[in-house]
Amino acid sequence: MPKEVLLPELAESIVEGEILKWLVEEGDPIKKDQPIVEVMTDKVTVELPSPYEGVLVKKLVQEGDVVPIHTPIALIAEPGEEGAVPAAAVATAGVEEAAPVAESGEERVLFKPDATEPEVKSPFAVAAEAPPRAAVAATEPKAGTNRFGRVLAVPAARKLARELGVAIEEVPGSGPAGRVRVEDVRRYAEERARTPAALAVAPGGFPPPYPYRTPAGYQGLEERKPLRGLRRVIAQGLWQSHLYTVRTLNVDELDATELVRLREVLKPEAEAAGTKLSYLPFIFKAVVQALKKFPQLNASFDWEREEIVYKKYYNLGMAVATDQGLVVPVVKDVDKKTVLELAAEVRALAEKARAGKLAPEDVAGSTFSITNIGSIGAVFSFPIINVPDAAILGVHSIQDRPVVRDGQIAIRKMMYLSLSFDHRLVDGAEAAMFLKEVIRILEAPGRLLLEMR
Amino acid sequence: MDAYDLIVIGTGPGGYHAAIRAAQLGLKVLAIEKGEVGGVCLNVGCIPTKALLHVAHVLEAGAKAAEFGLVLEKKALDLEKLAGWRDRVVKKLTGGVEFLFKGNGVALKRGEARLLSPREVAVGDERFRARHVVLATGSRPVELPAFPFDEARVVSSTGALRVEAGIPKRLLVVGGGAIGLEFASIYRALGAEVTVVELMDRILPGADREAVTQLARALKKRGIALKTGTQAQGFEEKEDGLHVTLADAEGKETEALVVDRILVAVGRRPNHEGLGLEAVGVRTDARGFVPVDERMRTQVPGLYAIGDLVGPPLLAHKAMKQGVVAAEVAAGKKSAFDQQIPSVVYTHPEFASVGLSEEAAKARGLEVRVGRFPFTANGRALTLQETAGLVKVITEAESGVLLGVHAVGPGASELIPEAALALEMGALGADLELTVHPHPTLSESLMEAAANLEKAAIHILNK
Repeated sequence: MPKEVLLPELAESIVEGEILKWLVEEGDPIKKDQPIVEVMTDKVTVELPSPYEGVLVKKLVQEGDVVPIHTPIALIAEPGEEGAVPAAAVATAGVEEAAPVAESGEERVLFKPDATEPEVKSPFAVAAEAPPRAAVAATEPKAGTNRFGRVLAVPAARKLARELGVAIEEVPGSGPAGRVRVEDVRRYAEERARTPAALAVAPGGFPPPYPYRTPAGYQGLEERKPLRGLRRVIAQGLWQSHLYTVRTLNVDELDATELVRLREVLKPEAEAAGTKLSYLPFIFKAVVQALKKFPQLNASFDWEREEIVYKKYYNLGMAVATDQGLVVPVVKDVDKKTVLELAAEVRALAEKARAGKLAPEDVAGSTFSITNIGSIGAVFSFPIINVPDAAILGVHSIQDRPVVRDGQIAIRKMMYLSLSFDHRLVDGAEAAMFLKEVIRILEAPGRLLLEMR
Repeated sequence: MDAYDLIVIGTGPGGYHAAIRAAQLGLKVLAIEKGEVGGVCLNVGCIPTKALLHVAHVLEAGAKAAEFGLVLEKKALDLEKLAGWRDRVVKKLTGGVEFLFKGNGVALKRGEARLLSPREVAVGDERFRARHVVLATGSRPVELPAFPFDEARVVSSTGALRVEAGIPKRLLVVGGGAIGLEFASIYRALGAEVTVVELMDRILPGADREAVTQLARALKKRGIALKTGTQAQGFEEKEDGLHVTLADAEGKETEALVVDRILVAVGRRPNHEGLGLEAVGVRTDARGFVPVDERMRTQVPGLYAIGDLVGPPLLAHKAMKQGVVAAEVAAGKKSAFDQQIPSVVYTHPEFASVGLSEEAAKARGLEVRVGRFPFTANGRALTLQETAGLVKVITEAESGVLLGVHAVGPGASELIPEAALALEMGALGADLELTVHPHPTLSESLMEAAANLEKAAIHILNK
């Protein structure tokens, strides 16, 4: 009987993936661990290796489909089995055979309600100990209880609630003593469909996306491409950031003269150690020092639990432009790494990003992000927060600029810094002080030696 | 190796419900049974005991017929014939299950099943694969070390069904739970002197205390001796019978009782020896039951467990519902086991209840109101010569929401489903009161008990 290939848990907290490209065709023979399909999650493309050897009998999902994890995506027949062998054909003696069941093995196998298959463990699952069942249970409402021991609801309403995925305890009952009736569940589900749960924090609700209509007479002058892959993920992420952060900007400037000098001194040393030294590792270190003083900038909202999460770890996302689009790989535990180590890691991640080879864990778990605008050139920009981070620091190009020092005009190596922060988590004064702290350290980078742990 | 969508291990009430429901939903189903199809319930539980209870009722009704001038000549009960009739009832029902299996396309394999993996089951040398496996292996009586079952002198509930072995003159029932009390009723009606010992301070521990008191009174009136706070410590066979040492709850010897047979009914334990639970990663709880969620899923994906195997209440109708839920979940339906479970003790008179007892409601911090109606005031009960007992309705004081209904008396088992529906519907006491019940029926007592909450029952003085 053909086996199912399920979309594995590609990484922690990833709940779905987009089928980008099939690498094999139906009917193709497949070796175990041979890549069969490209899947994109969280801006990262992975090739999914086959958990079995055999023949690809059927693709169950199409390119462009976005499917939840544990969904069957393909059927693979065992070697020699060659497709659908009706289970009845292999019936053995000794069973009191019941009335014949007109069903082919393949059709039955398509039927896969209980979306867990231990044999098809993700080859990627790094932090895979999260049991698949937990994920299922979390999305399914448990029959709630109240002071009577359980929610007052008629059985048909309970059944409907389960079918609609509504937690019965959340439904306001219109019957005597708040008894939940079928109409109550239906009304609640309809209202919920109109206002997505996440929008509950915005009382007025957001208007729907604007429609696009080609202007009359220009029909032939447009080219359309399906919104797929990285661009779709980027669009979703930025949209969420735009809608769910109160983005505020703080701009300051940094006298990088000392920093430039220090880097020049250290560059040959780093090269001797096999690494090219940029300014970014120094900025990383200064940011972490400042984050330790201003933990609000290293925080996130958890709206499900209505809590603010203050993180005691420092994972810095760095925006990298690639041919495909913008990605934000994450340098983990910056506080525990040397400048040299950071320099090597930054380079390695950037290369991986440009080659499109980031793993899911490479882009997960940032607590704060940095975007380097300087390399391309704008005077300064207003970066958009990489949610769920609280803030992002825009780093600009270092340029010789005239500044006043001791009443004299001096030419110094200057850099603009733009801190974009979520004003709900971070007050304006804190943001300003945080940025001043980053500047204070970087203007005399020797302070890193004094203060760095 | 044969492949199925779903394998059910055990064909008791839970198992056959799971198998048939799964087949209805289009799954290819294999049911595996090592004993008789129908499990304990059909073969040595619910059904044969009810057959014997019916005989007990007929005997008692016959005895009471003199009151209205019908004097029946008492003839000896032909125990062989009785056993034959009991077996025919059982056969008809087990045959019915096999017929339903065939009609629904459920394959049946006889033999003892062993899990090789969560998706693979061995029966002897044969192996079967399935996407889903439902464990429905049930339970068996607990044996007491001092009273090992020989099914002659010391019998389990299974041995107690063998009326053809003769009716003992004196019977000791160890355990005042549902099974013990049902057999006490049967054997009393068949002429035995019956003593029930129960370690707790009352029979049916956990049930509504007031209702239990009523039941105890009725049973005593029928000549059943109830010794609560008492344990049986051991026995010795002598010429004049089995000498049983009784002791109080602390273990202090109180008396010696001489009987001819001992029925031990102190509980049941789940069956999973040799099933291979450990091999597939299923861990049981401290009492040996298999933990499941409300969708009947074990910790192991694709593996479900239902019925007695997953813990109390050990009732066939609970297993049946769980079997249906397991099948529906396996078939991808969003089904869940979240119902109230009514319970019935088929004594004479019957005891039935659903929802919270008065004590449990109060323990929950609820302020309750109680309405009662005695069967002595019910016309139909009078005509049936069965006036012992009452119906008790418990509501929450503030909202009037129905919390529980408890009944002792004639037809209690058929009266409680209405209360179960009311509870499922989230009814108020007033809903029961305002629903017209036909006259004369025993069910009027439920309506009247609800009316008594408002001092509005007509046939009593509502004091």
